[in-house]
Amino acid sequence: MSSVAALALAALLAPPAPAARADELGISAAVDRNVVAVDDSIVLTVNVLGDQTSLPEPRLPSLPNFSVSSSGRSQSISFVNGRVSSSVAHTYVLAPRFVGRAVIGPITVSVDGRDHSTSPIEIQVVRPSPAGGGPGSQDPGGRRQMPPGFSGQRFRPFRPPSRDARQNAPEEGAPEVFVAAALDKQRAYVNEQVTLTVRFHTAVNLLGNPQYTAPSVQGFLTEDLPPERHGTIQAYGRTYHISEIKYALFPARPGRLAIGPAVVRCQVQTDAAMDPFSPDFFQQFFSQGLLQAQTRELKTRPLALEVTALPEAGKPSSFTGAVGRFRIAAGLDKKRLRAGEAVNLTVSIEGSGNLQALGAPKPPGLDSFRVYTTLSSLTLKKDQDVVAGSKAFKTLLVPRVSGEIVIAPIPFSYFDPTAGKYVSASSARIEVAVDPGEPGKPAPATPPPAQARPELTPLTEDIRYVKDSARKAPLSGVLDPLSNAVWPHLLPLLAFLAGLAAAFYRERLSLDPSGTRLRRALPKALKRLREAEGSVGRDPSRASAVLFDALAGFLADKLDRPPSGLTLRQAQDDIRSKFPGMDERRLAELKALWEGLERLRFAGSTAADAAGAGAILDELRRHLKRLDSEMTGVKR
Amino acid sequence: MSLETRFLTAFLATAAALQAAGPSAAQNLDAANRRYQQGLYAEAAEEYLALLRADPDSAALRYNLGNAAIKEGSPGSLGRATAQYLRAWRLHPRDPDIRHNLDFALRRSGDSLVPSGVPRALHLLFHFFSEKELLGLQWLGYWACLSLGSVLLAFPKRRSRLRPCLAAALAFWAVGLSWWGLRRFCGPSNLAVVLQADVEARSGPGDRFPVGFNAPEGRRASILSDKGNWIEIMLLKEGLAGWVPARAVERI
Repeated sequence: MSSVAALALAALLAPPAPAARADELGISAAVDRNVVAVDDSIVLTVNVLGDQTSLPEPRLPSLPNFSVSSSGRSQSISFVNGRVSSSVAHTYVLAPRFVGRAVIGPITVSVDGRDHSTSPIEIQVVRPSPAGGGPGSQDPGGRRQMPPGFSGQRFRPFRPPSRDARQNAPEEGAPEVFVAAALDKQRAYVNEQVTLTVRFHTAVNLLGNPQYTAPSVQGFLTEDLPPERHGTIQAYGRTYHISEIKYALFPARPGRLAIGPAVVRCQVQTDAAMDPFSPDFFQQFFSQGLLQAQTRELKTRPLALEVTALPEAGKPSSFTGAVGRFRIAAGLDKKRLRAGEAVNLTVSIEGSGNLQALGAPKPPGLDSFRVYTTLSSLTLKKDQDVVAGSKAFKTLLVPRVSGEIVIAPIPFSYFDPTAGKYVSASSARIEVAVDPGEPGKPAPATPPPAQARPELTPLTEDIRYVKDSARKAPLSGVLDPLSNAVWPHLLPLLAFLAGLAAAFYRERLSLDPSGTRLRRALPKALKRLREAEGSVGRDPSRASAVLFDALAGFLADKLDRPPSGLTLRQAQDDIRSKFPGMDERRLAELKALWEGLERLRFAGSTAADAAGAGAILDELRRHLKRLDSEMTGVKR
Repeated sequence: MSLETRFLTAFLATAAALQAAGPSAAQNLDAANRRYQQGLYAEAAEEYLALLRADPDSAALRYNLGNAAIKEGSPGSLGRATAQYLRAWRLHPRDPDIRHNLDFALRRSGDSLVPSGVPRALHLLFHFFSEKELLGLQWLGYWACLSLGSVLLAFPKRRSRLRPCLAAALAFWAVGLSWWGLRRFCGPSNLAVVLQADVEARSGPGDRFPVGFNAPEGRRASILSDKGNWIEIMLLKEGLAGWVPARAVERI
């Protein structure tokens, strides 16, 4: 398949990207005040609400009466009943340019081609107050300009401004621009909020917007603290315009944690005149006008924070790491229900601290309920530079029994860094009345499909019933003993090895037929004698024939001759030639036996013949053994 | 005393002795099942556990214990039920009730018995026999091969009749051994089940390490290593690995 066709097929088969639905989107805008001095600023907050985690950015209208700068954004996401609810707050700082009436037009967010807009906001810009812009000055709205944490003592090289200082000339060596960073504490507990403030000061005009790089805060969990604040202060005999950014830091481990430098790059206007006769005069004129610029890179000093581990003494068993000040509340969304009906238990923890990291408290003693998945939702507030809000944990319960059921108080422990001790709180006890279920209607064993985790297929069946017999499967009964045994499995192996040995032996014998006949001559003859023994009394003639065959066969095997047609003379001649050391008496015995057996073979069967055959049999056995022994040189 | 009288006396004495010895396993199972039917799932689970001590390789008892756990509905019950269903499935993988309930429990945690992309029939076929049964089958093939081989060697004249039988026995043995080997060595080793809901899996063995992901209760995992009170697991479905407290998982 060509790559183009593959891409086309992939595009056809790929699921469509999720998009916000137009009817599920909302937008609102608000300012912190509607009357502002021309040398002050207002904070515009635009909230976009929707049902997915990725929401479109709002579009600001043209604002010719204001200088606009973004001050960050914060997002809140919650999962309720399997659905996502998300809200994003965009914060802007608006500095008015002119005195008079100004309007912030509709702010728009678009989705699926449809626009959602806010209502216009009217702002009244007034002249600044006669006291001027110093630290602690107040606007006509009665609110302080400077952040509440500013004291002028931690931010070296600040000095507390005074009326005299404002009237003095700039001190020698006073910087034109500088940036400073400070923590509101030098020591903190693990997970206790510490506020980092970064301030950029400028006493001169800047060309363009400064570039800001936030400091490295490894070992901390971080939350922005919008909005970015602006103002003016007096220091070194000069008036500085300041821009201030704050962060809430939560140290994740004890020890000495470092905070890296914040960096600001800016273009400072210089007094150097542009040479009209310079070769690049026109290039400079059209790029920056008649102004000259100098690039400055400013860094704050690295900071350190001593983080103390939470004390082990007095740590409650229900403590899960929460540091701050909290309250816990719990409740059911129904006071009365039937057995088998679902009810939501909501546990809310409200307060100030690192709410993001809070885990769900474990309600004790829910034996009377079937407990299903817990969903959480988080709402954060950042007023007065303190991270606060609430986190709710919703658990679906289905009562298994009827009657008055009590849910015991749910414990929650946290460490109060201000008091330096652990605090144990608990919710109130909850009572619920459960009526018996409807007769004939079994309680559902599974939650309604809407409660299932989003990624699961809703389940409509239950588990199957228990088994009433513990009998094993028939096949297991047969095969399991085989798999459990060890030594019995050697038996077929041994049998196979024995068969291999026998086959090898047979192979050897087949390679030497003469030798085989020679070695097997006596056992074969003795076997025939045993056969003849049984019939000696009944049929001496037949028995003597068998005896004769045994003798002839023995001699034929030993002399490597065919057994049929072998005569006594041939046998004697062969013995003398092949076994020259043979005793002549053996040959005489052989002759006597041969002739005796011939006589018995062809004589009738009488009692005397039977006795004679029996005697010959014994003699023949002894003779054969002696012959074999002398032929092979081995005494039997 | 006549022979019949002696026999009857011995029979009655044995019956009385058995009666005095206490209820049989079947009676105890009936009692436990009655508890289950009455909704007393915790008590039923205790009785199933007691029966399992006497017969730990009973797939039916493991299955019943899983049912009692999942009906109990307490925190961790889904994980405990999944663990028991897995053990029952290992003992008797073709039982449709065990397969159904195990799949039911796994789906509650976002997993499934049959991996996605694998035909259901193929999965059932591959897991038709338990590992013990497969081992027994391959021993059966082993016995057949060596016995027929021994007969072939001992009686060469019967080779022509025995050769096809030996070939069939060899094929049977090869299939049994291969199948057992695939099941034993190619599947997940050191299987475990997550017992706690949304247990935090960290990048190292300690609370100081950042959380990589949350493992749902009831998920199957493979144990990679352990260090003190921490165990490193890998979720079978996603392949994600992380360290969790040892008490958060149950080994199969």
